Amino acid sequence: MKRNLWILAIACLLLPLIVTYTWFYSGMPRTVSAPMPDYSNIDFPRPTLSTEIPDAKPPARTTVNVVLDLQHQNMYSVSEIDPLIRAIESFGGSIQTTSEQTNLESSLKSADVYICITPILRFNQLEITQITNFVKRGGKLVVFTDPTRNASATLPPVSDTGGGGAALNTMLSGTDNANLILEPFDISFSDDYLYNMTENEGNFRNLIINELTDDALTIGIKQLVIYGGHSVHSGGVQLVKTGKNTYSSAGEVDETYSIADLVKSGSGSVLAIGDLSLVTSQYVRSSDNQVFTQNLAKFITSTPRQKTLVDFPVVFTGAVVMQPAGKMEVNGDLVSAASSLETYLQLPSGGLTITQKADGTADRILVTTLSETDATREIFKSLKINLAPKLDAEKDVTPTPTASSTLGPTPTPASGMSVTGEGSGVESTLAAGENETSAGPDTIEMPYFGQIKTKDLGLVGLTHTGGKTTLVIMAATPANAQAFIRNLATGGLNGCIVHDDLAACKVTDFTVPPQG
Amino acid sequence: MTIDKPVKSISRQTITNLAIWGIVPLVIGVLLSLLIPRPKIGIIYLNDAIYAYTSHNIQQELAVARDSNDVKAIVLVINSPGGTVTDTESLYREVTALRKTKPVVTVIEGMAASGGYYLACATDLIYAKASSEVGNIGVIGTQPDKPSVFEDIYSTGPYKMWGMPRDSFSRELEMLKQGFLQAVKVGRGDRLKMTNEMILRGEVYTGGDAMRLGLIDGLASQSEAIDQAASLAGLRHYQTLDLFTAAGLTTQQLSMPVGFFKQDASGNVTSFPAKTGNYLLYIPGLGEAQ
Repeated sequence: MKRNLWILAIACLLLPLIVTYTWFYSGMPRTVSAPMPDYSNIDFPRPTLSTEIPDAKPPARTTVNVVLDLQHQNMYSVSEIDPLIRAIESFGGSIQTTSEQTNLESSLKSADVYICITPILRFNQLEITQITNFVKRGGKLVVFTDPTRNASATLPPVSDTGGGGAALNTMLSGTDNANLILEPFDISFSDDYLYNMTENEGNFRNLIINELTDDALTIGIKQLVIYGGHSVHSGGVQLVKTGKNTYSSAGEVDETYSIADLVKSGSGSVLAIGDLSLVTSQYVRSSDNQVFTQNLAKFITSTPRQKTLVDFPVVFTGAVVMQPAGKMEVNGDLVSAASSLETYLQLPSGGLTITQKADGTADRILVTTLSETDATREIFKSLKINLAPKLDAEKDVTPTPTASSTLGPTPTPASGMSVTGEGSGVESTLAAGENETSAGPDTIEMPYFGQIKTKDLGLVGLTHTGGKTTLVIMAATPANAQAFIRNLATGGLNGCIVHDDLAACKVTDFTVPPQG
Repeated sequence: MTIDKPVKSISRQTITNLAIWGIVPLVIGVLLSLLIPRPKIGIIYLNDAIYAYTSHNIQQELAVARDSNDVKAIVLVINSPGGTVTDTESLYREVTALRKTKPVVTVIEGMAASGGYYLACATDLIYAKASSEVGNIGVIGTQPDKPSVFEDIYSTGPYKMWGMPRDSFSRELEMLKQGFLQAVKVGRGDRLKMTNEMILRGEVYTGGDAMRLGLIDGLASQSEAIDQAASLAGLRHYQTLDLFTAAGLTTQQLSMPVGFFKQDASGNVTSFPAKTGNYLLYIPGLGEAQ
């Protein structure tokens, strides 16, 4: 009995507890002792920096003129590409920067290389044509873009209803404008950035490049690191290529991309590089980046551009000798004319000397009448000027140029001046002792112009022999030649027809030496 | 012949015995049952970026949840783009510690991006809506300025003012990123169906995609998430408790001089942090605003 009572008591005691517990709880809680990330062992080592390559001692005289574009709101500063600048100067390059006031055409005449970096301001059609022709004349064009070099802009509001609208904030990329000057050479940058999630240098956008095409620009390079790069597309040589697992932000496709392409065009070449960090102070010591910078500087300064008449008056880079030939004599008029030409040709003061005989060790201005002498024979031959063309006896000897002429009207010569020779078959070489005002042949024959009368004709030619440049100034008589020099010293080749390295002009405003 | 058996009546003794041995224990039992904790599910709301102010509040709420015998499970309701690295890691550690004693479940409302998702990875289960934005795993920061010196400001070391060399910055970011990656992998374990490369792309996924990739455990409403928390805690009937109120917090608890996000010239709040630094933060449209 007693036992039953105890059982009853315990049951009554536990019943509310059990009911309450089971009402609220269905079982034991499931908890987890969760692991934590191993923060203390997370490390990311710094890359070992390459040993700095000392700059070469700059040569005594600069040989290559490099023009650096700063007139298209370029997204860089000259100081940050100091490694490239110093390397160029150490290899004999001279750096010249442009500004908003710079005339691009004039700059390109003196340039051997034009470097354009991340331009934000648009190139106009004239500039594009000038740059294209510069490359075809043997110039080097180097274009950098970089996906980290963008500019934000606010476009004005546009509304179809004219009621105004919201201004549009947008990002301006240098690729659009860079592509304008690269398009004639079939090169383009994609408006993207390349990245690799598995093999990179500290961040997915810092690519490690191990695939390089054998070229002078990649000599001595085993690896490059790109800190943000655009992909480049062209039909030329892909110098620097990405490896596996590299994607473009534009297409999200894993394939091989090129970051630097080299294209030959005419006598010149174009190098497009999709990353600027390679040559900047901050990243030049990474991997073999500074070797690339040195190679790039060597490429830029390798050979000066062979100038053409389009570059006139900037056809010489150093001291020049003036050599009179044919019937030319050194007199006061010639010296006066030479002085004005020295200034116009942008020669350094004292850079022009007059000599009767050039030894071929310097660049030369050959001033001559249209007469064949020892000094002029080879020149006329190289310019393909025929001083004794076979004239058609039945035809008027009035020349029919192959190109439309821009020569002006023939001025009335001063009295006493004899400026025309005989008709066909005029001897091309005058006998010694003849009157110095005697004209050469009445008609000559030359490329692009056919047979042309020599009266009031001034010719300019440009030849390159043995690394030396010869500017040939030709006219029918010494007086004409001196007047022509003064024409060139004031107006350059304006009003002339220029074909390759030969120009035909009208000699104007000359004075006739007194007779007798 | 019949013999009438005497009718037995309930005697006073029996009644006394019933009272002493039945009703009294019953009453005692009932009283004792009042000592059984009435289980509650603590709710913590994160509807802001994770920075000093919100981190402090949530830590207070977590403390209440940890110390309360009634709170048997916690549900984190997250709608956050993330925040500062340190505050996020701080909350992550607190939740991980709490999880040893009480289950914690996350339900994502609009967004659990970057630091918001980092925090969610510390919990037992993660639920979201089909349109919730989940992921954005990675770190973002502003590179320090180029070191320079000033005429009238002196410091005692080259990085006293700048903090670190510029090329160390990306490495520091990578280390923080690795910590985030590990937190995701440790938190999700075998449920995760993504490679490291996929995880670190920093993409934001909608709820459905996130579930397929193993970033979350399912699509659920807040009440369903609470039920799940109750199930983990072994609860049948329970109440919910707003831990913000339980912690005695008010919106004016701390006087913060500035909010987390930058204000533009018109006073509108932008999606960018007011201060430069490293963040576990989703900032849509950042590139356009540079």
